[in-house]
Amino acid sequence: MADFIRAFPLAAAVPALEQAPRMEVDIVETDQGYRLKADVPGANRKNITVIVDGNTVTIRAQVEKEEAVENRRMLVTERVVGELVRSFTLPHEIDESRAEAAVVDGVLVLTLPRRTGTRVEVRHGAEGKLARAPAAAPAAAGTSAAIVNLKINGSDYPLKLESRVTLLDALREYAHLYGTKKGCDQGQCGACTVHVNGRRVLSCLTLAMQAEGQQVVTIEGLATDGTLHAMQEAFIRHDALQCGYCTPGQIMSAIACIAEGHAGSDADIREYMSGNLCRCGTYTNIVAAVREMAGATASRQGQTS
Amino acid sequence: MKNFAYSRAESVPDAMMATASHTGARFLAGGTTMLDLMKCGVEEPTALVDITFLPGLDGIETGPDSVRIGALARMSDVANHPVISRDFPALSESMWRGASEQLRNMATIGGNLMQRTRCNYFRDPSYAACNKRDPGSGCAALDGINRGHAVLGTSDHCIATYPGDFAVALVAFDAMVHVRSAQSHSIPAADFFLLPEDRPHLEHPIAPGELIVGIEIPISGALRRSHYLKVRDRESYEFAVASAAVGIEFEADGRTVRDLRVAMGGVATKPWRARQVEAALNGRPLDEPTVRSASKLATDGAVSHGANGFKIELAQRVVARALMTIGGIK
Repeated sequence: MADFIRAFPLAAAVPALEQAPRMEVDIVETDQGYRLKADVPGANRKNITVIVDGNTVTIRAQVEKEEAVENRRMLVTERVVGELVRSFTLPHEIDESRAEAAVVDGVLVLTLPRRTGTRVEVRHGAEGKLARAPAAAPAAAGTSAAIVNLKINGSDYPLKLESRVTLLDALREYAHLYGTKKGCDQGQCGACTVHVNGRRVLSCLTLAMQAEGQQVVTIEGLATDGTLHAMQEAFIRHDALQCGYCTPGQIMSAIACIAEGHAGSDADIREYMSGNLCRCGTYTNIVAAVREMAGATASRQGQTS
Repeated sequence: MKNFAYSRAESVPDAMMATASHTGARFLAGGTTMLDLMKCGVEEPTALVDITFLPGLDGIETGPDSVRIGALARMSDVANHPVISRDFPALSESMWRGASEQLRNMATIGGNLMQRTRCNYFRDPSYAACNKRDPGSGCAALDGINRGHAVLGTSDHCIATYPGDFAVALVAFDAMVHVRSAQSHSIPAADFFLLPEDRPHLEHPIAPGELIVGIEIPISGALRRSHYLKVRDRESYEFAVASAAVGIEFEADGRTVRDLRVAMGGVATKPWRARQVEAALNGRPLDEPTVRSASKLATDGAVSHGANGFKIELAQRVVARALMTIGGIK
């Protein structure tokens, strides 16, 4: 038995819930093996354990649930911690060394490659149903929620979203990446600026579904191994922020501004940073930070060319 | 925002079929106008057909006779295009002086042509009276806060300003809009924008399911010596209060006007070609008194609605300054 997701330890033994919330599960057969999606209410990375044993997959999720209880003759709602356990038997043994998992907004997505050369007797239990993957999955044609596969800062985020969810709301409310800020939510302030395929765009006027299959980079994706991006360091050095709310958007915009070649002069920087408003009025220091980084980029290019 | 069905079109016929066969379906490109108006509650499509993944519609070609721009080219691609920014200044300036680089990275050329007015009464459905949003309901702007509204091309039914910049240059330089429908056809840019008259809800001479596939701007001497001057309430990232796209081609003497173009933005209900100014200056040597006197013709027929009366003289001055800048008159 291999507990292959060691990043998801079970905190402690907890009682099974008497009236457990349902764990909605869908299993699809793929070329490589199986993809399992489980809608686990209240789940996060810390409270799910997945155990693979041959052709059996077990999901143990510690969940919270609200229950009405009587307390001093008043009916109050209390949060109850319990455990959901579901077990699935698949037609093939799973190669747990290549299995992958992600949990986003309560949707657990398991990629379960089959171990080659194995075929075992299928015992359909009451658990999840097996279905063959459609030849070409059509883009969400209906108005109901669909799984949207976003690539954010190099990681996959399969999110269950309605069509109307903007990239901004997907980042903040579904992927739980709160660095990107919502200011005006109508394309006037620039606080929500992110990079899509290397270009700076406003995530508040982009549908999450438009961003499917594209490379999204947010402020969280800039630091590497705990070291801030040089532009983040420059903003700190030049005190280019006061309250900080517009700063993630300013920094994403500033990096793109230099990459586009629009930081050749202070006038250029002001023109091409004009889509990012700062109510604290730190523009002078923002220009100084961008100017310094533009100079550093230019001298670095001069050395290498 | 009300929910809707989202799909990605894989071919132009596929996209046209998807919108023609579904009432309430709309094309989605950059989304900078559409999503904004959906959040305001002005646009309520039941389906959005994403056309941004259609192949082959985002090219920019600068040939000997014309500049051709695919409908899905992004505004920033046009503004930053090396040949366009070097040889055809009004096209580039009218691009980079609009919106912000983030929005220009999203917005497409086709979508830019379909940009809708920024009239606050149009954008806010809590005002019942808006003939553009709800035909027959009236116009709240006529007696409302109308400092930003149009003084040219207005009617008793609508005084909403056309907000864009690039189309002003397109109208000045005789661009064509290529549209794909059952039979492909091309529409002069000047005719692509309709006057409000008594039906301000109709803005373009195209039907549901018809798709803009590109624009074409003929190369002229005036386009090579051109300029877009934009005057606004702040230096950048703001709509025009008054703007002018101008171009001049001189005779061999370097003074006499052979071909002059003037169109205005920010002051009219559609991109406004000022042919009276062109006629007054064609064939004449250019100097400041001539330019200033001809520029007064730019606002022939203008009507003030109170707070926007200042735009009449401002428009004349913007036209004069733009012409003097490219005419070499200090």
